[in-house]
Amino acid sequence: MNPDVIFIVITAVVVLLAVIMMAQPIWLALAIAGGLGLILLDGPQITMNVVGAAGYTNTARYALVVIPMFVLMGALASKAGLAVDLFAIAQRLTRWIPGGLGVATILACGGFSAVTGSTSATVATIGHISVEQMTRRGYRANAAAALVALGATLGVLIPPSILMVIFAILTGQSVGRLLLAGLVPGLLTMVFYMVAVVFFYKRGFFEPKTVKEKALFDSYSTALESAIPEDKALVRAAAPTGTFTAVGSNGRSGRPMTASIAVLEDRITVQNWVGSGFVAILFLIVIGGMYTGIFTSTEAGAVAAAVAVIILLIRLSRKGARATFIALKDSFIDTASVSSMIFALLFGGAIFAFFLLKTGLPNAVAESIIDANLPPLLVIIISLVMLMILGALLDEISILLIVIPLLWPVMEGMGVDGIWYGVLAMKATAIGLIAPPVGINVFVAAGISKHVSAERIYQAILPFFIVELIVIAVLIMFPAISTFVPDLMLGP
Amino acid sequence: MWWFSRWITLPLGVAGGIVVFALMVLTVTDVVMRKAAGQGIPGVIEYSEVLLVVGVFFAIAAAQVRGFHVATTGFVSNLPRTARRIVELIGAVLGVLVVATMAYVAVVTAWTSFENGEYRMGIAHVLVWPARAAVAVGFVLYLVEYIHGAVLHFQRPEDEPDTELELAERGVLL
Repeated sequence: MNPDVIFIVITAVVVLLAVIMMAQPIWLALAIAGGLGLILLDGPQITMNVVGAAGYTNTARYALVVIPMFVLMGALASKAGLAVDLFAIAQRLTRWIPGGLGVATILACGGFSAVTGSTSATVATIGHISVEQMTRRGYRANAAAALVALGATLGVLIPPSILMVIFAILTGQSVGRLLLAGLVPGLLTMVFYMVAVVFFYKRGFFEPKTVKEKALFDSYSTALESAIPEDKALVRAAAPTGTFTAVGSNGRSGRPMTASIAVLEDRITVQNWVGSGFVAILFLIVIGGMYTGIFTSTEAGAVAAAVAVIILLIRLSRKGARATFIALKDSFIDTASVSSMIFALLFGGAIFAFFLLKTGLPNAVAESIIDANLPPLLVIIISLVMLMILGALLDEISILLIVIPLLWPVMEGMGVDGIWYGVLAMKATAIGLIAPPVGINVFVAAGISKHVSAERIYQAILPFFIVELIVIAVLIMFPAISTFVPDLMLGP
Repeated sequence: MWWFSRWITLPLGVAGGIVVFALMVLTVTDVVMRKAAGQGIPGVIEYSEVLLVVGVFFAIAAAQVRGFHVATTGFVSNLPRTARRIVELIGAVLGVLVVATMAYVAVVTAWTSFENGEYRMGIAHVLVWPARAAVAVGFVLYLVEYIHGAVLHFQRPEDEPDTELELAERGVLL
């Protein structure tokens, strides 16, 4: 590469990091760094043309319609209160297992991920229900919050994962194939998590250890005892009543976004079964529709979102037209805001990626690594470690937008299967969601748990990193785990 | 809440959501027609693309107001107060300049598209300027909200806009 071009690349990367560190939106940092690089390479006029066209050309792509469809489905499912039913059923089904409540949390996280595709939303929604339930049953508060943060990472693999869609778009892989590929690894990860919960539970990992934790459990026990009627029927009085608040102007004024949550502990209702059935229906529409070839991924997302609208209307019909209207309005603005956030990142990422492409850096990196004759497995492992480290510093979409344009030509040049690598990359990126210093799931879990800080959740989540590494090792050793479902359905 | 956000930015965000809803209806109708009658809506891809752009850019400023755009304060939060404010000021000035440039370019591009009657090639000849206009509107509103947020931040640092992590710490659903 030309030394001038190398200097420009270094300058752009320094600017990117500097603007991110200045607490500016990351999409803007990507656009600034990419734009500056293009000005230095080709002058301001061409840069203006690229920036002027990028907003429309990078958004107006039919393949991207799937993103707001999945986001809409998730927003509607959240507002319909399906998480409460899912958790109630999971809790009932796992009550015979040691650490059953922890296992139920993992199951509910996996199930809810399957209709939201968002890890943060899963932590917030399931966490509001399960963390206090676990704490009252004698789990350490930080370990309970850690379980929710961990369980929500399943959303990165279990369809409909929005990260998977973005990876597919960045690498030119089939969206439907990648989404299907995440299914078995997602379920496998869930099984590993559940086994780990039982293992750690038996070893007393979740028991209160400090004086403060024991005092907290005692206070819950006292409150619970006073609330339980003689016939030990329902425990309603001590059930958590949580509301999620949205941020108003500049994050200052909050307002209720969802209905309050009240969980029955000792029996499950018909509504719980119906709610869980709705989750299953949405999941089947997305996965079944793509698997059978009835729908493309975009169509599956749209049909599932339409069904989610009907579910919301059914669920809120008793609460009246006003409550339904507010839930729909909130779903719409949540959908539009989340979609805009994702597309803004795609816009900034596209400018940065275009700049990198113009420099020829991705090809140069790919050629030099391929010429070095390094074993592909070693290169894959190095790239996964890199994704894990970056995942601890930046959000997942930003990482993909910055790193994948550089990594993918290398993998493609070495003949690595894109579907398999996509699953591995997603799994590595998911670890970043729970890794310090900025594991977003941990921060969301800390936000919903009144009694623990993010630092203490990090302490509790540490042993589960071993589980994550074991899962990645299994996925590396047996690529068919990732590829056999899409191969079975769509052909090799 | 600032009147501009309350009456312009956030309602436009809701409108963006309604456009996404319309996109869903269009896609589902196309699927149903194709399965039932063997033929879908002509030009559904072209219309979908235009709707997608409108939906996304109508809400880009609302996402800023609601704190959805990802940023990290990991570095600046560890700086001394004065150094933090200087670094943030440099970032904000840079951000305003770049977003203003983007807004200007988007407005010019939208106007040119309107004047030329630009349309999307495909089965249906769908006019593109409404989408380009939505991009321009989105960036202009984003610029206004960005400047407002920055000014507010430097006037009253305690009211600074929240980053994603700060929202998460407060238990806000992201």
